[in-house]
Amino acid sequence: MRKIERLINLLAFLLDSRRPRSLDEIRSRVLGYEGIDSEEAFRRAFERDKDELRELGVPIEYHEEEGYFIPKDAYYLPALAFEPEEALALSLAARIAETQPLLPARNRLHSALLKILFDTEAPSPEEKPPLVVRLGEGTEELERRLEVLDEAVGARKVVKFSYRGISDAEPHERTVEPYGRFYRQGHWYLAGRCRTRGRLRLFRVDRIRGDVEPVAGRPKGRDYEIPPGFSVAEYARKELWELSEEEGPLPVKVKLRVAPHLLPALRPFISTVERPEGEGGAEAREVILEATNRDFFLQWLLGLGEGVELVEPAEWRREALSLLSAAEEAVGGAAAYG
Amino acid sequence: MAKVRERLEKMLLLVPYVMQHPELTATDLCRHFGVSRKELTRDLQVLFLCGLPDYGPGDLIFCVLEDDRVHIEMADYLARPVRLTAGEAFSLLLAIRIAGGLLAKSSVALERAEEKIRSALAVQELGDLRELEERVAIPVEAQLPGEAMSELSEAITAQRSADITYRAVNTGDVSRRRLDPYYLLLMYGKWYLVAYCHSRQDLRIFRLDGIEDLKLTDLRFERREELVPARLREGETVYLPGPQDCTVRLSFTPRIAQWVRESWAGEQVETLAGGGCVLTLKTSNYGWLIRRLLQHPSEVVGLEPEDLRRQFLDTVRRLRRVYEGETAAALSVT
Repeated sequence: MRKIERLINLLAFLLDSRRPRSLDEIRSRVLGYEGIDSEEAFRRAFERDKDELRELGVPIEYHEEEGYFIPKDAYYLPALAFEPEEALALSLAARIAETQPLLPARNRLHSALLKILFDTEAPSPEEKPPLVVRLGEGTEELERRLEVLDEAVGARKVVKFSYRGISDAEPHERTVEPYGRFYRQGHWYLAGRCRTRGRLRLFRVDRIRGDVEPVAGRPKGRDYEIPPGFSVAEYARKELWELSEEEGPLPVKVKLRVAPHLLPALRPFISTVERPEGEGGAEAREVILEATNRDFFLQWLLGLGEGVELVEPAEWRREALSLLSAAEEAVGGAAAYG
Repeated sequence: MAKVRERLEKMLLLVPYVMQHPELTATDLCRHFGVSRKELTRDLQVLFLCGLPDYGPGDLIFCVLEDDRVHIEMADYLARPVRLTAGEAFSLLLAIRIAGGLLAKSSVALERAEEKIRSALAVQELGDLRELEERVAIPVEAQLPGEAMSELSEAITAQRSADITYRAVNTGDVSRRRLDPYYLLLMYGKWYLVAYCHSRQDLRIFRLDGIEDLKLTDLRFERREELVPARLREGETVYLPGPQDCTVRLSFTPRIAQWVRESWAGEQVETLAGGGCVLTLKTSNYGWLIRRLLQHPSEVVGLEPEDLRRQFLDTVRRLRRVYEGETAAALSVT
């Protein structure tokens, strides 16, 4: 008797029953347990089978003194009627999402859709949607890392990996309590508490070297807690200069002078427009926004090109000047390679 | 272990599905469930051996595969699928989130669908779902207001030309154009429209957040697929090669070699003995390239051809002069 057959028989037995069934009944009646000699071995086998079914979403309850029971209303999918246009939109959405290699829970999508449209005459759109949507490059390695991370976050298990940050000369070993992941401008980021540094940090998942490995902790239960109120969504909406990779520095007020054509691009970040107020006009405006990370901020700002100028803080302005002077020196002479 | 679970999961869905849709052929089933004929046969053979005590002929699940028809009986307890799990609901909600902005015409339908999905979950699962939602964030939004987005979807699917007002995001130049919209692309967190531009008489790429106004016309167009490079269609790049492209060579210090490799993944990057690197690519858009280089101005050590080096240097000099002023200098808008 193969395991899968025993599992189906156990499920059938419990689903077909109107009352809880004792371990003895299960052992003597369900086909598949008959070859197991000792009580101890049977219990172990049954425990494993029960966990396996629960993993699939089968609600197996234990009733004191009576035994095991599956409440029917908790097992069966409730009847769900979708309008044709809802079903069509759902299928289309699922097809777009299916093409995203690094999307969490992507492997659940197919069965989810089949289940949810069980009671609906599902119109299946055969034509390819005229949309190419790509959230990020998906290599098998990245996919594997994210899978391990997702699982670790769910079970609150500590992980370790080798990481090379953008300014690190060498990769470093990190031990991290993962809090969640978010997608920002083409990349997946992991947020978590770095045990190596003892602080909250962000890691770009494609900068991890090699595999993410779970760190042995308690066999059951959680190895850490995520602080209440922590939200990855908050991180995902921010520019890198609005975040510090580490907790610590407070945001700094930055004053910029901006040409009107760049205002729309900056709008989401501006906390105050100092002068002149109002919209329109060809005059440059002074605006205030907040940043925590100077280097990231200057990168972003200089990358906007001409038409925007950092006014304050003076120290940040001096840094911008020194970057530009160094640049002029580096490429000012004859072009040299090598 | 995981293999057994996966298979069992599929079977617990397959059985009710076959009972509900007796009209489906085995070929249909294989397609729906993404299994081969061999796997389907194997699964049915397993079911055939299962059932209720005492496992006599009247207790076992009855199933046959004959003439491309699957028939299952004696499995009333498996007449409906297992309730949706939190993970499954999560995958659907993410799909709705990602596609929602694109399927603007269906956004109300998707909202209703989401409500129904949530209503199908038990209390415990709802809690697990909320937990999953808190741990993953994907801020993908349509960057056009709903109205314009739905006009654009209509233009793409019905192949109708559209008139747009476009503001180039970096220069601020405003133009009016007639477009045949082909595809939408989401790359690195930004939406792009690939369209045939009537005024340029060629394929062009537009950033969605630069489209200020969009009006549908009654003109129909044919997609000229031959104009769309494969790499663009596959979503591997948003760069459109043009006849004016020339080869540029840029060299960088070791400090940002990593950044160069990441930012220009897919382009040719050569590592030098000292740790620095040389990037070679084709482009005609110096303005865009220079702005990217300005993110790390002091780490650029060489540019070719000479006119690119000149332009970069001129830009750096103008910016440097702005920053040399003790207080902010008057801005010259270029």
